[in-house]
Amino acid sequence: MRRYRKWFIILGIFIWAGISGAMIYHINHIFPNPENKAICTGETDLYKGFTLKAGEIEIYTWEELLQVYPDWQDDSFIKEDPEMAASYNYVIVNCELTNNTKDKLANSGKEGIMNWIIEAEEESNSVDYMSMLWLNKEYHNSYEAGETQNLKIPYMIWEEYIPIEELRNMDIKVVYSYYPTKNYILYKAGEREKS
Amino acid sequence: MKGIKLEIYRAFHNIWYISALGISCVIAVIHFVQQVLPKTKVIGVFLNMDYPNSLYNSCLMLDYSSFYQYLFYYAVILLGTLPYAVSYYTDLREGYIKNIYTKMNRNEYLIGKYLAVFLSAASICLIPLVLNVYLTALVLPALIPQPGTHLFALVGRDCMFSGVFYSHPLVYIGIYLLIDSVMTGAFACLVLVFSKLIYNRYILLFLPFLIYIVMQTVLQFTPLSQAGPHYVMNPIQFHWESFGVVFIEILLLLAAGFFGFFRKGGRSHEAL
Repeated sequence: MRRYRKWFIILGIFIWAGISGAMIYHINHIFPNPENKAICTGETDLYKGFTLKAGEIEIYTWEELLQVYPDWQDDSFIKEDPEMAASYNYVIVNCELTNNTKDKLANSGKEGIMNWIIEAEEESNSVDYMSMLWLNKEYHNSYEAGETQNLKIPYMIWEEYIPIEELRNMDIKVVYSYYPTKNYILYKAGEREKS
Repeated sequence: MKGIKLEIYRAFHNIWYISALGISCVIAVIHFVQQVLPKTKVIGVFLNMDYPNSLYNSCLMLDYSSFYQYLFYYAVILLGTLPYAVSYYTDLREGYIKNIYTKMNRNEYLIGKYLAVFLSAASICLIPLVLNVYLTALVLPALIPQPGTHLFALVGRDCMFSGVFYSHPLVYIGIYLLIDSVMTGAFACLVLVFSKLIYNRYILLFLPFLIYIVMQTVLQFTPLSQAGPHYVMNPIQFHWESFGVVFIEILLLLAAGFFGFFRKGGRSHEAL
């Protein structure tokens, strides 16, 4: 028996490696990494009964934003702290949502448009709720059959995290699903007009 | 070469090494049982904007909400000194060193001593972390981290190696395994520096832990807070680290340990 001890140990190592490998393969086979599905400007995707059409992206500093949207100052958040508002960069994503079904649909909750996430490299942020309501004064989260809403989705990214020049030259994603597929609108740096 | 091999053999074949390794592995296994296994009951998600629990936010190194993570990164400094750090002190005080110097080259003995203490302490840190990552990988999927989910430790691109974490997280784990092992070994080697100056083995045993606590406490209230050793070692990066600070700190600790021991505590030893 002692003669074969070395072989038993080697066999044991192989069995252990095999079981470990099988377990790791199994769990990663059931829950694989999400598949990336991107749409670019002008492209469409089917999303929970809606057709999502990606529009243009707008990227502004605070001063530039006021030139394009002079009434933005009426937003209550800005009135309280204009100095803080100036320390952010502003990204506005245009999109169109159409209810393709024959029923009334709601676009709310954790999967609603208010919870779409912007990603710029490792930085991320959620929708600025107050600005969203100000920019889309006729926004409502229930859609009649066939109804279309053109929406402007605002995000704020702190200038210290990503300066404006870098923000304009990097890929930006607006994510509306993380798992099992990662669905997002992709704005590639080289393929969009600089705002 | 013989002296180096002998010292390394002594470091890894003693009851203190087995005890320290056992305790650190127990922490890693308890974390797996109490924090990781409950997550396996429901791995999938019901909403598309949710993200399943992943190896990269559940293993001990990257579990930012876990008591065991906090405990490990303080206890490992103490456990790393247990196996062999006071061996130079005991060799000196018991006169064993005279025997050694008659049989081997002094430089060989000193280098072997330093390597043995460093490697034994580093392995006390490395083995349980690897064990925990392995156990977690058996039961949770290795889903790539997603910054927008806010479920992962690193927030923002100012963290050190954040790009690596969000693209090749296993490489990030490997980098921090190296940093943690080297830091643990470097702190354990500080005992060698003071072995000639302090005549109490228990004070020597606790000295690296005391230095660790004092450094962390003092530095975190200064502009150099990212140099706090707990912040440096922790892959969660409570404080955004920079590679330069981490590299310089590791270099300084290694240099203080090696040259402090080799030149002042070892080579200039007068007892013989």
